[in-house]
Amino acid sequence: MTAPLGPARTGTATLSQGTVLESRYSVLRKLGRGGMSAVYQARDLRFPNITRLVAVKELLHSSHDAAMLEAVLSSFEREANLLATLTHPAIPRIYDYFTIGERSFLVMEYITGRDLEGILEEAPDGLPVEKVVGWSIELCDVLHYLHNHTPPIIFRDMKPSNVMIDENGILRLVDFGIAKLFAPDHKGTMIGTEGYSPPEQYRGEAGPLSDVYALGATLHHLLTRRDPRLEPPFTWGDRPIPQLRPEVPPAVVAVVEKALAYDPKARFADAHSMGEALAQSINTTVAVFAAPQPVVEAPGRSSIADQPGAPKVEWVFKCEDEVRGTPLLARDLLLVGAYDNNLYALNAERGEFQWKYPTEGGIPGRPEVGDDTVFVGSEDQRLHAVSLQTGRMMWTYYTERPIRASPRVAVEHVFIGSDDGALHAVQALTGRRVWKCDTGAPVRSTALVVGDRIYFGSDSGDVYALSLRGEIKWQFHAKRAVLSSPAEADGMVLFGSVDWVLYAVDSTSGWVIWRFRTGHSIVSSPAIAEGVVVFGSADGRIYAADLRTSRERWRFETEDQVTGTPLIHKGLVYCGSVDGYLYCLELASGRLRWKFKSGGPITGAPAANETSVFFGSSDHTIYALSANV
Amino acid sequence: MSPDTPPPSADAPGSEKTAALSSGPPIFHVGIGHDVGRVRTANEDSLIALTGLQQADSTLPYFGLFIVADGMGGHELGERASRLAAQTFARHVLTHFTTLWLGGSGGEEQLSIQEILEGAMIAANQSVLRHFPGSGTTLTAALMFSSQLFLAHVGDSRAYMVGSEIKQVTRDHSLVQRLIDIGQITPDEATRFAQRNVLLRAIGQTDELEPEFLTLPWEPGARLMLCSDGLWGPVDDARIQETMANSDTPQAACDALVQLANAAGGPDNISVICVELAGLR
Repeated sequence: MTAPLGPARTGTATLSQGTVLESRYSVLRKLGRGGMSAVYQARDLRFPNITRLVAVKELLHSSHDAAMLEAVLSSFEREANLLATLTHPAIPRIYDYFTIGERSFLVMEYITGRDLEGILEEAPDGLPVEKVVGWSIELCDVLHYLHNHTPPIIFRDMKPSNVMIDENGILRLVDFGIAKLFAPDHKGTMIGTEGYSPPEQYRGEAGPLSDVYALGATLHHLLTRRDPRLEPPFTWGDRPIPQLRPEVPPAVVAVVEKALAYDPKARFADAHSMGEALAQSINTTVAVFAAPQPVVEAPGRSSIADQPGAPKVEWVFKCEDEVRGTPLLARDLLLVGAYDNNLYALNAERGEFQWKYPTEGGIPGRPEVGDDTVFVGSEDQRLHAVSLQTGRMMWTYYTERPIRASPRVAVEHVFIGSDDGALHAVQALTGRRVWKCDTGAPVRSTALVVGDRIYFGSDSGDVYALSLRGEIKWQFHAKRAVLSSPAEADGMVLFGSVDWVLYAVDSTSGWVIWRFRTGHSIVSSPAIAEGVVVFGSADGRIYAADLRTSRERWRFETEDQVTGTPLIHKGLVYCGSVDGYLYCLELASGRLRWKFKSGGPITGAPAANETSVFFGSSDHTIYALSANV
Repeated sequence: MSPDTPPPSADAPGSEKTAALSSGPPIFHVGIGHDVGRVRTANEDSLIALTGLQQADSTLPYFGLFIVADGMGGHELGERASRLAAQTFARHVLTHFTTLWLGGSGGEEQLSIQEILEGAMIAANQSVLRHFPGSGTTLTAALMFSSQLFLAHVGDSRAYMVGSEIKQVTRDHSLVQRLIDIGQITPDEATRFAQRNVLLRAIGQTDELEPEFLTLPWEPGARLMLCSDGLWGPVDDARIQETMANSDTPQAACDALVQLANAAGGPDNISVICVELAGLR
């Protein structure tokens, strides 16, 4: 179903709906057309089961001179490669580029959302000053990133219609680099948009300070609602902000005026300084990005106080839906995903809200941190990479089905299973896929990386050992699904299966060394310490077995299924049960130290530090208990 | 694999394993000592050592199976019992393990190493019960492959890991050991205990045999040593370690250990297997 592309003569003809480019991108509709490019919305046919949309941008070149064309095409390739190396949360990702005949295409992330021009139009009373300043600070950050790239990149076309707020509320710079990419490189050609562009750009010169100016113009437009394209250039003095918008703080006005200086030398030294000045001007950068304040409740009294020997509740944090996943401690933060779609970062000591990051689906797993980045999978089918400091998105990576496994970070890669049946290996820095390994059934088991081997299970019942390049080294088949995440000790890989068995297999060859049978499915993942493996079973028990002999050391009966994973910490086993209790047992004997009742099933694993034990419950609550009972 | 997987290198399967080895495939160096001692007239111990190497389409280039059995019963019964037990055990492992090792199918559900070794022990027990009732034997077996050491044992023949120190990795199924475990006697008193030879478990005694299974990672540079009580009885662990450390080869170690046991009176049959795996990282 490939509609033929027009010959070179019609090189600037519009692509019609249904045209398939590169046997992969099916054009859905035209999004827009500028002087040098046309943009289409297309569907990526590589993902047949979901609708993955991409933006396809076509370079429009009118020259029919062969030498000129060749120069343009090689410049296109060079620039496409350059763009592909950019990694900033505000910059759309480049997926692909290709040239068909004389027509060149760039395939990039399709961003759904609104641009600032549209948002401004719908705000007859003007946009809140804090919001505008907040966006501008973020834009300074992107510009700073671009200007400090090697080689430096000048955006050249900063204006409200090139800034989008995507469906996640994240600011994105669009129409990126096209102006620079395809512009003939001689002086005298005006690139950019009249009204926003600085004086020097009218002379065909553009540098970092040109972007600073255009950002000043954008800021002026957003604050005053006066469109500079409808005014003579450089007439800002005729439209003073205090007159049009008296509530704008003078410090903000000063920043805008400085950015709009006619002489580049009189502007901010760089985008970074402008961002700092903006931050100071409203004196509270945090407030700009801050999410709603936390609901930290006083510890409930009724259910807890009547349990003798129960640990002290240090704090609780209420989410808007169930917490089925496992928290992660990173520095002084506790990171937890919830079924209210948010990834929360709380102060571990006090439970205070630090930030939250919204995904578009429930978060069933555990986050993982590497290099100040938090990685988390969501039922929105994506793996999200978020700044640990700010909670802002770095990148997202799409799989074809919901993600219910947890990510694993190792050797600068993130390994994560998806219900699309594959384990995905993704570059931690960029979110780009390196390989994927298909298993034919959902992968909900979290990968384990030991040395140069990756181990994970699949709902097909198979457990795989892969090399770091994704080659299968061995494959072990259990009778039923393996949702349990493997653990390793002494050259053995251990995991449970829905076939009721806990397996210990040789990590080098995949030979099963021993089996331990329980009375029901094992979804829980094994925890190993001191030569003992501890795990839960849907038969309601927590088991401890000797690693070397496979003999049972002890078992502990709970009142419902144990699907959560135990945590072994300082000689104690902490494990939740569907009966709503968190149990604390002695590792050596299985003797109960205490139990703590939450308001719903506990399906994740706890986390612990020196002072506290943390866990989430289906009662929408994250608990911090004192570990020193 | 998805189509966008980078093509793997031209390495053959298993080449990563081989590449980790210093040169060529890992080679077993095995020494054996089998001596009647200075008091007994018959040798009731049996030893078996099997090693396999393959440079074929396998990620498992080698395996080793080592068995020591110490029979009892008199009138040649002990000798026959230990031989039958060791051979039956080895046959069972060859049938089930080696078939798989050579790429054969494991049937519907692949037997675990534990099941293979325990099954071998049960087979040995049943054949001794059937053919030589009234006799008995210990049996300690070590299966090695893939950097793991798997042990199955019944009785008081021991397995040691010997490097810069000596570690006893099996625990005797003997009255003495039980008394030590429950704190009735000290290990020092045990060396002078009158009923040192009384076993709590042995092959050929009862249908209800409870073999002990154990797995542990192979320690590179260490030697595996299996022996009957004819060695560990008269010679203490420190002397065994020192002697093995001063022996260049496993065979030299076995010869020296037999000499030591005889020098200490040689009260019982002396059996020892010493194994070194050269070329393992």
